[in-house]
Amino acid sequence: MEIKIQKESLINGLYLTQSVIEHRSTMPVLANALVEAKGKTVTFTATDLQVGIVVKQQADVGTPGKVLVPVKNLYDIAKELQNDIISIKSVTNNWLEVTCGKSKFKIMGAATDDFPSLPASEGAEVAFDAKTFMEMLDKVSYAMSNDETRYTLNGVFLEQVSIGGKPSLRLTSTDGHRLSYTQRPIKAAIKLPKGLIIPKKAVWEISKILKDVEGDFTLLLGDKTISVQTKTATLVCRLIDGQFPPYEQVIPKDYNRVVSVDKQQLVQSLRRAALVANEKSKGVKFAFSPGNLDISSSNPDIGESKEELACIYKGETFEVGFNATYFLDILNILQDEKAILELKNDTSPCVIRSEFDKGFLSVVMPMRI
Amino acid sequence: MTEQIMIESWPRAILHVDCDSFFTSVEQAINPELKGKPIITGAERGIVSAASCEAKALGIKRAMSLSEVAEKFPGVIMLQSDYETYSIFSKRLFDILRRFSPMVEEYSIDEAFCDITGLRRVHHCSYPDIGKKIQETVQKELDITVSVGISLSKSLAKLASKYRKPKGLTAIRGREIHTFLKNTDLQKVWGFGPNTVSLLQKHGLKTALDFVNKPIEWAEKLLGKIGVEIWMELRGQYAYKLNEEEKKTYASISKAKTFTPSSSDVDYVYAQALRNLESACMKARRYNLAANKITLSLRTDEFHTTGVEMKFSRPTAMVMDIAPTLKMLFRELFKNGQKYRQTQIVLAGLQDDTENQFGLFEDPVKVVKSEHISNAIDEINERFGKHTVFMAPGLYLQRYFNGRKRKSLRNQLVIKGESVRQHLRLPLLNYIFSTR
Repeated sequence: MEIKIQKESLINGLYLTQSVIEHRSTMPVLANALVEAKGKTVTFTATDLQVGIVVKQQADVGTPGKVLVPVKNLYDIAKELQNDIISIKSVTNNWLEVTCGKSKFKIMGAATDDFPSLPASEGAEVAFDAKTFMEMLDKVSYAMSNDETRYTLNGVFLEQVSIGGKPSLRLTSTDGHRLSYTQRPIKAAIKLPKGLIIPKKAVWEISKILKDVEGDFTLLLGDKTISVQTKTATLVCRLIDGQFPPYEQVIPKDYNRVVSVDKQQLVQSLRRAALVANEKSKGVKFAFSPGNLDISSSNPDIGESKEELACIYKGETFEVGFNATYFLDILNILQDEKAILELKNDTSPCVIRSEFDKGFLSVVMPMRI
Repeated sequence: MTEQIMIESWPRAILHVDCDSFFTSVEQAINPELKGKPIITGAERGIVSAASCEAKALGIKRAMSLSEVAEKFPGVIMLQSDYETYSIFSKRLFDILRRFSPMVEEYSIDEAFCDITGLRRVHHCSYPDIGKKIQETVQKELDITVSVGISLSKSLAKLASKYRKPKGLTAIRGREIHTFLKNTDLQKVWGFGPNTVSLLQKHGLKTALDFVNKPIEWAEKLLGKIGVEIWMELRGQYAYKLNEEEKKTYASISKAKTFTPSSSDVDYVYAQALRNLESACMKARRYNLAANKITLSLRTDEFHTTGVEMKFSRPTAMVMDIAPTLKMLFRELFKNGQKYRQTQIVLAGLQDDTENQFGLFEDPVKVVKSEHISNAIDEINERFGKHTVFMAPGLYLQRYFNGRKRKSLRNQLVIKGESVRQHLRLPLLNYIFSTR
């Protein structure tokens, strides 16, 4: 194999592949990317056996062929090279010669035989606007769980729902303490009998792939895999096998207290209150009274704080505790000026909706302080 | 020629109290007829947990098996341990120490440190005399003997109390440190284990004095921060501060119980494990802690230990929450036909339980309710004795003899209207009778 490639193309190709690679993998071959040169393109393939990615870049192919390259090393080298054109040539015993201007590197590659092949992309196909999908992921990904014991929560749940008769895609995530979903219409209904759980790592990788994509991209929703296809990259990911909890049951519908409060003020008050809250649980007390919201926190090791906020509320006085971090996570993704809180009592979840984005909803469970 | 380490005598006075053969002394205090006889406690465990001075003189050591003791020393009296009584004595001991100094660290059930710096004026006597007064008071009120060491730091005080035992009183003044350390072997130093000692010996050190005569940088390089602290402590500098606070927080809580005879009865062994869980949960709740991980280990008759652990989805310290998990772990671990002698429960990942995050997929009302039940059980057990109310599988514990053959004396002599914990024969009277 012998190619000449633009530095930028090489870096783009390696950037997406190197982030898929698991650095502590038990299979050494997975620290490599498969580089294939054919026609006028070079493809970079990498996988950690859960997520696989193929990135295409244009290059001047001298001799077609394929080789395994240590991604991290080549990526680090490529970033430091000075000239625009980089030439890569495979020589005997899987060695690679990388030449750029007056710099010359010789690095050790590996035989391509052991490299696993990626699962095939298959399933229901749907075209979706990349920017919209990115925004949807942003609005739910914060609530994904890290708890290995509840592995079905370690990702984002994707399903087709019907909103007012219109087919939509809904993304949901929860860690058992808070939950968020966001939904957007799609052009036509797809054949997707049940929802699927996209693992956390794939969620981050999809965001990276879609970052620079303008317009639509293709989603392939299969039984076992989900694929994301853009003009230059294809990502295939094995889904989390399991049942996402029946989350709709826990979204309260019979709330009787609605509070509207300035979002920015609430964010700042919560940040201050969190400073003296219990370091681990970050418990902050919300005390609602007509027209007023008191936010207080205390920690026997530090002290206490109290702060008054004006709000629109016309019910009886009541108190409820929340983890300030959970609340701030939600408020930070809310783009509105006002935060609308729907509450019932001190043991029922609080629903936070957006005034303008009707497809967004988030729920946070209170804590006892 | 040994160089003097310090010129002053008492820049600070730290006193260490160490009870002599604590468990057996307590037994002798409440059962004066046992005085002067070789006795051991730990009969319920099958090994010696403590031996009286008389038993020690015969050559009985801790952890010796009972069969060995019975064979070699037929006259020895073997007693079941009565930890509740020991803890009451321990509490009383600390109370006495607090009369002498407000700064007391309860180091273990039978050891304490007191800072008595500047208290000569209050007690109208020298530091060693304060030590003597403490010894006398303890003997008079609890009828047990203690050894006392007084010096400038905790490490030196601990060395001093060990120096003469039983009933010893040793004071190491600043200007005497060097002579004392010259006669102190490395392994006697608090904090030097067998590995450290052998490392130091490889560097040609023999005594504690050799160690402190090395430059501090040398100690730091070889042993790190701990080395520096011990080095300072041994030179009479107060590096380990007295920790007066009662232990309020734990990283993990462990409860293990050995039962004799060992058993292969699945219900019985499970009941043992569950009982440990109940004790561990009780302790966790007392300190307002909730665990997020449990480990169960079973020890076989051949002293092989196997264990399994599991994480909880929500931190908890409620037996009713954890019991199903325990059952599952137990089934995984227990081998039919195998005899077991001990079960152990470790609750780990403990965190503050005063603030409780509710989960979306659980019913908060149910959580609160089961908390109320747990609290009620705690209250009942507090008033009427540990394990008055327990999980039903605990009934299997009665299948075999376990623990005491007869109730402890304290239990038998309870007067109407008095709780077991309140009742204790007055050692003071024993003392008076025995000295008459």
